[in-house]
Amino acid sequence: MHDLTYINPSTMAELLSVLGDDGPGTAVLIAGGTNLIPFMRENKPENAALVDISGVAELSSIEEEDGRIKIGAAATMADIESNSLILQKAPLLAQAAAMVGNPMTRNRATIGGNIANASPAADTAPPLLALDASVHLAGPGGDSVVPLKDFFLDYRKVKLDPGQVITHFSLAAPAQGAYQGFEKLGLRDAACISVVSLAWVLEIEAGACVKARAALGSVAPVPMRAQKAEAVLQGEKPDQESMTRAVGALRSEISPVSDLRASGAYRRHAAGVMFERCLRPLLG
Amino acid sequence: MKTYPLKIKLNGKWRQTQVSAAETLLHALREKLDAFEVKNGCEQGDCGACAVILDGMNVNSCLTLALQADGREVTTIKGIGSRAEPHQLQESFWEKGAVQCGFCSAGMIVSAKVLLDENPSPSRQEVKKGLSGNICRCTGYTKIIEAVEHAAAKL
Repeated sequence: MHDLTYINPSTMAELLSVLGDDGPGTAVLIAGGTNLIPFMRENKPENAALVDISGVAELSSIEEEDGRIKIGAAATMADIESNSLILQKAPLLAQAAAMVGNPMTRNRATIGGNIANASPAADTAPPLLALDASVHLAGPGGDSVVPLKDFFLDYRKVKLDPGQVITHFSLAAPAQGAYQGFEKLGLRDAACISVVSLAWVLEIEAGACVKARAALGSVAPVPMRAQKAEAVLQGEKPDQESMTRAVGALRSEISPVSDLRASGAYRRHAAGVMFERCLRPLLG
Repeated sequence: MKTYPLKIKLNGKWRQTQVSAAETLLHALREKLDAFEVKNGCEQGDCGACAVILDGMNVNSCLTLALQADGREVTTIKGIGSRAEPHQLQESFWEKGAVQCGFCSAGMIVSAKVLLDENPSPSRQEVKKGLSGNICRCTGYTKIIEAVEHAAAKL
């Protein structure tokens, strides 16, 4: 066992004070612990303090403010899966949260942890990207906001400096009646890491696509927006020809690797199939 | 080694011990509080053998810090039913042949109890989803699902 200090702040002010302290070594933040605890068994932190943020109530609220939905970083997958505001205005995020791990991990795992862990397979990342979410950070240097698409720097690396904490995510709800969804392809129906995941938000007005967002997980070093595919759909009436072009564009801009779960070639093929299936209902 | 006092209400009784910062609830339950009915299957949240109820939610005790349960209620299979007063789920598991080696059973019944508390008449699909965090290597799940449906009908 490691000789760690345990700190359990109950307010944001206390948390920020701990993070600003030179105190008992590096601060290792823990919320649900579903990623961190297995990680710590293999990578024992030295001279560190385990800072438990799960007791800071402000970090787990889900609310609407000034037309934007704010989701606290410590909101759990179970919270998000069943939250009436999310289900009403951004249901694709609830769908994704409902597919993370299994019911027990969902009771503990947090959206902040899912993003900060920066796995390219993080299930909440594609929906948040498709929703143009922003990441709100706090730290000894003050508060800042980063668009989520700029937050993923590289494989398992996010724009989070030592001493910073994700406080919440904010996003604008899609227009009423927007076509949105999330699909996760895995080797089993539950408790799996995605082979490919796809989130989409498509706003259609007078038959034309006024806003196209598509984001994928497990097809690149980071969760990504399929911006070439989006550009094909943007402003167009969805038809067989533009759909075929959009699927081709999506396949060209992803860079899936082969690993124990699937080959790169399979992922490239499957991503296109999933995208085509999500677009087909638009063809009427 | 720095340790901290831990106080939990375990199966209705307040218990105290000392734990380290990174010690899991699973470790504290088995090594310090004699709760051997909670099993260690994988220690990484994949198998569900370590499932307990924490303030009404089923959780993997191997993925929870002991200190995160401080001051809270923890229920294990022993808090759900006993030999003298079995819970309907335990009766149904027995009757339907849903127990072979028994290693998954405690965690499986914990998850089944939480499922039925939240959804007293689950469909078969809902039963499967509710138990999707609990792995069984012996039974092939059929009897387990039948046992949960049997208990739901009787409760």
